[in-house]
Amino acid sequence: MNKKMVFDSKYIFVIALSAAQILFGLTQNSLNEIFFGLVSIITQPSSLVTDYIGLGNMGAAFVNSGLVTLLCTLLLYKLKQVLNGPFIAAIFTISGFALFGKNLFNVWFVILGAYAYSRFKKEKFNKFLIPALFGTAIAPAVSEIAFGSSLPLTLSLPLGMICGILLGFVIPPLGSSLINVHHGFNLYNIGFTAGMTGLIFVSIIRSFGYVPTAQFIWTSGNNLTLGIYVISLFVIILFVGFLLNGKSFKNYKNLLDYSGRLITDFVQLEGFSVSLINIGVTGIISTLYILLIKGDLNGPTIGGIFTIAGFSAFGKHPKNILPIFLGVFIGSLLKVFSINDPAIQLAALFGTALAPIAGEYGWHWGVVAGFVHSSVVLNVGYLHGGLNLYNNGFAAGLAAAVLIPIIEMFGKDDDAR
Amino acid sequence: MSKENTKVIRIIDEIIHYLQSMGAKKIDLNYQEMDDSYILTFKCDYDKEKMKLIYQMVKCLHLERQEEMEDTFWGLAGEHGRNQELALVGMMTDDATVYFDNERIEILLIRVKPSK
Repeated sequence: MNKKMVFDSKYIFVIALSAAQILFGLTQNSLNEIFFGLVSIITQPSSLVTDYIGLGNMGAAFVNSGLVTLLCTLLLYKLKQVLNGPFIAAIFTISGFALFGKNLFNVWFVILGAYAYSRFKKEKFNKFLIPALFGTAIAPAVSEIAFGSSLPLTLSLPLGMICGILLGFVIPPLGSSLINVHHGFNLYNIGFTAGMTGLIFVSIIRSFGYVPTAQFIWTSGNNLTLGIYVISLFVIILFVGFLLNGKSFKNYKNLLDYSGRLITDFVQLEGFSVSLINIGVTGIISTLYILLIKGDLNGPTIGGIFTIAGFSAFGKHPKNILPIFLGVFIGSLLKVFSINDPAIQLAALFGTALAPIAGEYGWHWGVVAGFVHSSVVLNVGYLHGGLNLYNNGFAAGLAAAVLIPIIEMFGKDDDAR
Repeated sequence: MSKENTKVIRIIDEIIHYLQSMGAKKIDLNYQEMDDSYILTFKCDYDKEKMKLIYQMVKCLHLERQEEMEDTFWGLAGEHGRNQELALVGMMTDDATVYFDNERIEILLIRVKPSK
C-alpha cells in the first residue's frame, strides 16, 4: 500500500465525526459558556467517573471530544498512518472518553511518553501508535497529580506531566506482554495494561500518603437531546456504509461470522463500507439498550456507546455483544444491583470487551462472561484509584484470564471451527 | 533468543497449527535465514473436506505487512491457532504465495528483517 496515499475515505470519516461532535457542542451552549466549561474540564481531576457534561457543560464536553479527536486524527495523518480497524477503534474510543476523562490537556503527556519510548528503542513511532492512543486511558493520572494534589501548582503541574510521560513510556512494552494473560479475548488490552500500571502507580502514591480524589459526577435528564443526536449519527453512518457498499448489505453476513477475538480487523478483512454498516448497527443497538433499561445518556454512557461503535471495526458485532448485555441483565435480576445503576450501565457497555468469548465459544459463554464481568468490575476500581479510565477493560482482562481456561476445560474441538 | 527470531518461530507455530486443523498428516518445513529476510516454505497434504479453510488462509496471509499491529499483538501468534492469528501472520509477513491442488498445499512466506 502506498503510504503517501493515506488521506482516504477513512480520514474523511473520522474528521466528519470530529466535526459532528464540535458542531453539536456549539449548538448546546454559548461560546462563552463553552470556553469556561473547557477551562473547568481541563483544570480539574478527571478520575472515574467524571462526566464532563456535569463538570463543564454539554457544549464544552462535546467540543472537547471533537477537538481531541481531531488533533489525534491530525497526528495520525502527520505520521502517514493508514487507518485500519484498530485505529478507527482508537479514534472512536478517544472521542467517547473525551466526554468523561480525556481532555485537551491530559492526553498528550501519555502520547509523548510513548513517543519517548519509540525514540529510546530507536524505532518508528507508528509502531507504538496503538498503545499510545489507547494508553491515554491513564491520562487522568496527569490531571490528578496536577490539579488534585495539595502541592503548589508550580510543582504539581510539572509533576503531573512527568508522571504522564513515564506512564506513557511503559505502556507499549507492557501492552504487548500482558496480552497473553487474556489470550486476546479482552478487546481492551490496553485497558487491562493501564489497569495493571495504574494499580502499581496508585499503590506507590498511596504508600507516600497520597489518596487519589474520589469523583462521581454523573448527569441525567438529557436522554431526548442526546438520544436524537447519537441515533442520528449512527443512522447516518449506517446509511453511508450502505451507499458505499453498493447500496447493499453484501458481505455483512461474513462479518457476523467472525468471533471478534484479537486481532479481527473488519476493515481489512471485509472492507470499510461493511465496517461502517456494522458501526452504525451496533451504535444504534447500544443506544437503544441504554434507553430501554431507562438508563442515562451522558458522557460516560455515550463514551461506552462510542467505544462499542469503534470496536465494531475491530471485533464487535451484534452477535457477539448481545450475549454480554444479556449476561449483565440476568446478573441485575439476581444480584444486589439494578440494571440501570450507573456502574452497571457502564459494565454492560464496556463489558462487550469480552464479546470474543461469545463469538468463539458460543452465546451462552458470552452470557456467562457478562454475568461474571458485571461483578468483577465493581471490585477493581479501588485498585487503580479510578485513574485508569478503562476500568472495565481491566476487569474484563481479569475475567477473561480466569474464564478462558475454564471454558477450554469443557473442551472445544479445534477441528470444528 | 532475539525478539525477531521469536517472532519467526511464532509464525511457524501458527502455520503448522493451522495446517494441522486442515487435516495435514505430513508437513515439510523449509526455513532459510537470509541477510535481509526469512524465507519459510511449508508443503503438506490436507483433508479435501476442509477446502474452505484454504480460502480463509489465502485471505489472511495476503493482508499487508503492518508493523504497528505486529509490535502490539505479535505475542498472540501461535497461541490458539485460529483465524485471527493467521491474519496476524499476514500482517507480520511481506509476501505470501499459496499454491494448492486436490492433494497438496504449498505456502511460501517472506518476512523482511527490520532495517537497523
